Amino acid sequence: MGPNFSYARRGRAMTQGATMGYPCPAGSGNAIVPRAAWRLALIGGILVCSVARADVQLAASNLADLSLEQLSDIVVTSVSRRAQSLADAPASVYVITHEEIRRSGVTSLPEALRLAPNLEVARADTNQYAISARGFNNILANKLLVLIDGRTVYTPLFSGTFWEAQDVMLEDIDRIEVVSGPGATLWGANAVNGIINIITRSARDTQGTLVAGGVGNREAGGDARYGSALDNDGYYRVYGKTIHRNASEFANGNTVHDSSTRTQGGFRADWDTPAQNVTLQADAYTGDIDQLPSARSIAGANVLASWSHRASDGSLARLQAYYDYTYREHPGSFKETLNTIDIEAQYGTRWNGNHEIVVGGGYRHARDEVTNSAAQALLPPDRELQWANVFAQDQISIRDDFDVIVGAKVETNIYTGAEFLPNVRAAWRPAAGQMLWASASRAVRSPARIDRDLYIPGKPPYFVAGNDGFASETANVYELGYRGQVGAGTSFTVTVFTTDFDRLRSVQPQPGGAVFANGIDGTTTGVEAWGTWRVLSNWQLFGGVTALRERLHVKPGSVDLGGLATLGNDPSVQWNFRSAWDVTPEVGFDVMARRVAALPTPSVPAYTAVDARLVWRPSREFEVSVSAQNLFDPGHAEWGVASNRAEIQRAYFLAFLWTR
Amino acid sequence: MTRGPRPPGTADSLVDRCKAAAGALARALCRALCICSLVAASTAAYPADVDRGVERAVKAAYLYKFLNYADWPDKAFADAHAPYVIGVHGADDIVLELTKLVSARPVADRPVQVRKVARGESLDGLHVLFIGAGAANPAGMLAQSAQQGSLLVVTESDRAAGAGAAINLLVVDGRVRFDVFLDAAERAGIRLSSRLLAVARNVRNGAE
Repeated sequence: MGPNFSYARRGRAMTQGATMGYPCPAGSGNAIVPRAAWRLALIGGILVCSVARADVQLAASNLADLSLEQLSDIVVTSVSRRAQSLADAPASVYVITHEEIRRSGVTSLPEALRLAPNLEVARADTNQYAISARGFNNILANKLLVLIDGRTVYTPLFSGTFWEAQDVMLEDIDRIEVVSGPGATLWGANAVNGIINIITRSARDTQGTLVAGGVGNREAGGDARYGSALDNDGYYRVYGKTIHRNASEFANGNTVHDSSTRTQGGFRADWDTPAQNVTLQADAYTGDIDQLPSARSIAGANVLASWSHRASDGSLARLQAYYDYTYREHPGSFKETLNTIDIEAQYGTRWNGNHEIVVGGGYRHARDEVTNSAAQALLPPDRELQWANVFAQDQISIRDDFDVIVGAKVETNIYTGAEFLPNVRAAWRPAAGQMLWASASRAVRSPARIDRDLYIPGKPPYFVAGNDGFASETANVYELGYRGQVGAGTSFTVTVFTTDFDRLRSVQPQPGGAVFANGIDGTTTGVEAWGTWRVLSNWQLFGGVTALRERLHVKPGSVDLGGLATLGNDPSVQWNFRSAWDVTPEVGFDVMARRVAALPTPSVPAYTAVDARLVWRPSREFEVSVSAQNLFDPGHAEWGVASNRAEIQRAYFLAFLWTR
Repeated sequence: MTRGPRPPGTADSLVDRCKAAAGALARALCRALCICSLVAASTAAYPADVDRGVERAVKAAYLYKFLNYADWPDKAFADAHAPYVIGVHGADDIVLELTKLVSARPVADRPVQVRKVARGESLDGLHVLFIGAGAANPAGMLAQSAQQGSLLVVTESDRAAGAGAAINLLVVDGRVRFDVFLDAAERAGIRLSSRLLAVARNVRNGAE
């Protein structure tokens, strides 16, 4: 099994969290978030991910684009037994495949994430997104953990993700594993409501030259990659990309002043020898994002090395280290430089025939340096942050068709000390291709700098003063899921969950102002369901829906000044639908539609958006495509207060891709 | 679906085109239902629920992918741009699948060719030999290939262990997996990458 693979064997570092926020209002209250996705997917004949099943007739020519791991995961019969990959793990997992990303024609990571039915994705303007799972959505969403090739993409400011700063060469993504629900035992604090694991291909699988580009009414950009062999058994690739996005508009037609230009480059090298794999990769980026009064700028760089060793008895040892630098300047607000180093190790082995054991640990150190402004301050401005963790997990095969997974992690952070993150799961496979699973987990969001260190304004007297007593938010999560196949080519997944939250962030009044406190508790309950149907060998449909009900309350004895409304702003229901159709071997036609119910606070109307893409591949090396987003609607809002929010406008994009 | 105010001109024709596309989708759906039921009836004839079409396509894809994860000695190629040649014996369906797949899909700057290998034919110039389940005398073929250097032999037998194949494809838990025999690869002078070994179901060293 590949080292990047199994849920059971994967250990991921730690993170911490805090959230909410200040700059951007969110909504909240009681919501139900469903999402549905219907997609017509199409074609190419590839299985859309290991969740989907191989079917009637897969074209071998498309299978050649899959990795070895993916090939070995295609079910050619209906006698599947053991969990083989994350897609088979007893959890609510959707795997966005390389093929789905390619077919969708998207040009950014957040847009690609709309392919996952178990995520909420709301575009706030040209560059900013609110992305979450199972509620609590916010531009400063803080209960979701995001990794790119094992590197946690995380800001300790609010323990969330600045989506405008994250990018990869989309053509080189192997898959994006989206887990909704807790993953704290393996991934650590912050993995409360979900994990997004972005995995790029080995340099070995991205050999040759690729040039892609496109132009549309909303953006224009291009990227290029070159991959080749090294003398010593290794392979490498180098890439570069740049994109310019136009400013969006308010409903009244005025510009939002949010145009942006972003440039990124990097490399990855992989060495394989019979017993070990070594990967070395690095990226660097810079970007300017217009805003009033003057543009904010971002920059970053990272370098990551990983080593894995497979012993003859099948045990696997893995070591990974990375360094990450990020810089951002918001004129008139703050400037931040963050340097992070992270190291982690894990070891997996089989014991006594029916135990698969994984143990591991990690350490992260970050230095966060902030330059404050008159409007607000993080005090002290510079913080040394540290996290350390150890974890162990045992997957026990009780019977051929019944597994139990037990695990726990202990993670420390500078604010609250040690947090205990246990998890137990059970999976029963009553018949070929069917799995019933259940889990109980504890996850926490440990405090972020905003929760503890934020002062408003920048000098005394403060209205908001940091609270050294802000504790971790906690979640006890119970899930029940079923995954099945109905004949060849049809598969579905249903998950129900309920989460008991405690100590959620509230805004507590105090003489002269307010502090963040832990004065809210409550429950979220929901359903996630999706399915894929391969109608023909060249035509595939996908549909998904999520529904969520949030019942959050100010705890007895607490007073809350609007904190409840900033926890998140979620639709009660979402659905999406896709059709992927290879009209001929040279022509593909994809349609995606999604419906998002209204957001309550602040109110954002429900919307339906339809995207379509037509691609023509006159030769193996070249393709040209035209895509349209928001086809039937000149614009709609997805996020924000009515008086001050961008309309997401209709977009057309003409693109080409050349490889050899 | 909601429709906001449309800009003049193109919008109506877009809507018309979409309606037309919807009609085409509906017709295709009807066709699909008929075809699916036919397919279901025919696959039921195969034993063990194996979907032959998928299984053959996956195996063909493996044969192609293996080129990426094995290193042949330099002498196996005439020059830097000489092709990879995959020989297939006893599996005409694999020849078909593979031929479709390799056209315009070079590996590391080398084109890939597929050759159907008959019994007794020379194996010179081959880099990979797939001995299919349809082979009349698989043991004879294995013996002949063992004489040939720099040849990666792939089988799909449950009895191939230790008989000379470096890789054996087999259906396990409903998936096409493979076992690797390092000694056979070594004897042939071929080096297999750890990525390949990592995905293998079993990696064996000799007939242990």
